[in-house]
Amino acid sequence: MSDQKSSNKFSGAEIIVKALINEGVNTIFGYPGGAILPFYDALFTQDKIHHVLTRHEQGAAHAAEGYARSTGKVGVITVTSGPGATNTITGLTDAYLDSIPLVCISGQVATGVIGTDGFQEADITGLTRSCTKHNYLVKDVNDLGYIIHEAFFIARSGRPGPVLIDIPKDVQNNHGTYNGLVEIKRKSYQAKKNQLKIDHEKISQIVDLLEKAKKPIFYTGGGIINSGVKASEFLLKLIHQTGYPITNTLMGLGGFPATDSHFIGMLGMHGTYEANMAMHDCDLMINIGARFDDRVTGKVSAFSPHSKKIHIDIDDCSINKIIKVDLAIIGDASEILEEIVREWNKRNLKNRQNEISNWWNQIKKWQKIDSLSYEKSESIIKPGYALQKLNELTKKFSPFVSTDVGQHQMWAAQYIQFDEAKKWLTSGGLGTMGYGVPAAIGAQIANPKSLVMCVSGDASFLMNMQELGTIKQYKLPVKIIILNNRYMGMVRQWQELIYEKRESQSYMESLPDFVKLAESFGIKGIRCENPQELEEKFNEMINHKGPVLFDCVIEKSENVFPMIPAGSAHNEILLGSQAKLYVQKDINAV
Amino acid sequence: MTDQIKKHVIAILVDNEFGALARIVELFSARGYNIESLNVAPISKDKKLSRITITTYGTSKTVDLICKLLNRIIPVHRAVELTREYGYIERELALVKIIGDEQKREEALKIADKYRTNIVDITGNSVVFEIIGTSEGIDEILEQFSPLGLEGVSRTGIAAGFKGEKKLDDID
Repeated sequence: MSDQKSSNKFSGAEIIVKALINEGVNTIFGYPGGAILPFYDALFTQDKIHHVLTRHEQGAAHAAEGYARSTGKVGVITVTSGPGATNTITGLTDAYLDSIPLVCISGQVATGVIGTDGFQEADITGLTRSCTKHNYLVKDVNDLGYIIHEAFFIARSGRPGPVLIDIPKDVQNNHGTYNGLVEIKRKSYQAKKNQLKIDHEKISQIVDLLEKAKKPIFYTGGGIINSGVKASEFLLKLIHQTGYPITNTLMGLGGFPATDSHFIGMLGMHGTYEANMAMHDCDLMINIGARFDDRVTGKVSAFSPHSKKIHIDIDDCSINKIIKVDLAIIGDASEILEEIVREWNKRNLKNRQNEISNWWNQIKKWQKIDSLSYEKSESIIKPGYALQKLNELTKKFSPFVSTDVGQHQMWAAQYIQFDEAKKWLTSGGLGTMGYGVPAAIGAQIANPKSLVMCVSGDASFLMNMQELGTIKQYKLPVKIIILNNRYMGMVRQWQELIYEKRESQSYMESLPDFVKLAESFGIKGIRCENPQELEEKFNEMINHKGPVLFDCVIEKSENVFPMIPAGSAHNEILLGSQAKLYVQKDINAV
Repeated sequence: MTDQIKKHVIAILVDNEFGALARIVELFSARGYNIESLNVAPISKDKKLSRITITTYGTSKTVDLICKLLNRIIPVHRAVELTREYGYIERELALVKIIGDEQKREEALKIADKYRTNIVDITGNSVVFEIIGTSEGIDEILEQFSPLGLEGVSRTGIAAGFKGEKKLDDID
């Protein structure tokens, strides 16, 4: 025993704690259980890492996502084996699709028991192989420290993503060597990073195209946000230097200031009329850090038929996957943008806003259609009104806003304006109902002084409402606004438009009294049913020091518009007044 | 042209560690692609690096994407589709067992001689042959063996490379 305790020999559990501290981790989200108890014991005797106890492991995963997205740091989850680990799978898949850096540490039954159907045993490396960037089963405590550092390196570098480390209980208990932070020399992975050297010939070609464009549009995504503040700065510079219009994807909101005059709104299925029409009619499209997702492209064969397309992305798998492009460059958005700005300056090019005035005039005509307008009401709260009000009242606080998934998510994306990156937290790729509340928890933990709001729906909120307990325990002043229409609104919308109003299972019966529910957790509940009272009640919510659950009772049958019917082209976009013209061209499109 | 389903052989250089093969195989199964043949063996002296050769049928477009996704797997060093390259060569080895009366065994030995296969074992009524050739070549011999008491076949799957001085590293 004395030999085991000598100098740099530690228990596996101690190595996990030390390695996390060396990675600069000060906050983790998790839930203890049998197979991870040695780690939780080591956690008990230290004070550098703050553990946030969620009420469900899925909550821990989304909270870590919210933490990661709002800070740019790696989010960390610690859970036990079996159900603890399998409960994180939705969160890991969510992070995989939205390129969020996570490290999930799961306990596992002891190595000798693996494969015998032990209590709470699940083959979590097998189960998560297709939803993680990489995963590990640690079999030797002497490998543990290195593996943790490699996992962080992989999670945050290149196209970020989730990494899982499965650590059997005996590996946590055994003693082994830990060498501290070491340089990660993984040849197979480094080789791919070397491919990211910028090709200056291509930068020059991009500027050739930029300086000749007559109808250009920048289309930028989550890659701008993942690349960091510098990417947003260079993007702003480039847009102001060129004088060109820009649209953002759902994941890219905030990467470019929404209140800037060059911004023409979000694009895609529920994007603005002007953004989608501009995508369709442009002669040059510059995609930076987006992946031609089907929500964005609509019908692929009719996608932007007359444009030259440039694609800048860190992941070469995204190039030519859906849309064939004319010029692709693989690399980090901020580095490439910096090079483009430099080349633009080197050539002494002037702002081209006036030279493309025909294009801007066309865009302004489209903007005049005011595609986000809705029928006003004196008696009932319209979701658009609620979110415009919320935006107006909270703008000065530059809040973090998370959402769940469905109609409320699209309305939030349409009506709340983000001028900064990392403020907008939403489940874009996977579309995970139940993401919003825990993601707001993660963002509030990371940004204790900031206003953090979660815009949710009645159906989505119920999926992870147990996290009200976490909010209460850590005194997190999160404001949750439920846009309550007593429906799974987006499902109902599709049933109305496509399935002749057969509302199959989309009606939420037996909803709880959300105010009483909040109060049962010791949280302030506010209900508002009247548009005249909304401003006052929103102010009451904002001014309340602690958490608030706000039940905002809205119009039941409001639909999200504009809308590009699934399987249709950008220029077939429908406004709210044209709902009757809805034609589903491809019944298999989702 | 890119929509045509045809045979593709992919070579993958990968760190020799558990989980790596599973990740590679799952890329195919997740897209509903069947792996026709697969072989793995360490190729470096320290046994840390393995070469995997996978034969699959699919459209060029999907196989191109699979190759990119294979390259994205952390322990994968290189993944290259070989079949479309100039100078592509392949070989496969099959161990074939014939059990039959003297007449059938003699017939089998004649065929074996014609195709220059090696005899690995003769015991009692059985003969075990070793056949080396292209997959199609082996198919042809097996066809001829089948009425002669063909009782067992074990094939290695395709091993592949290039003619001349061309190496895996020479491909972008």
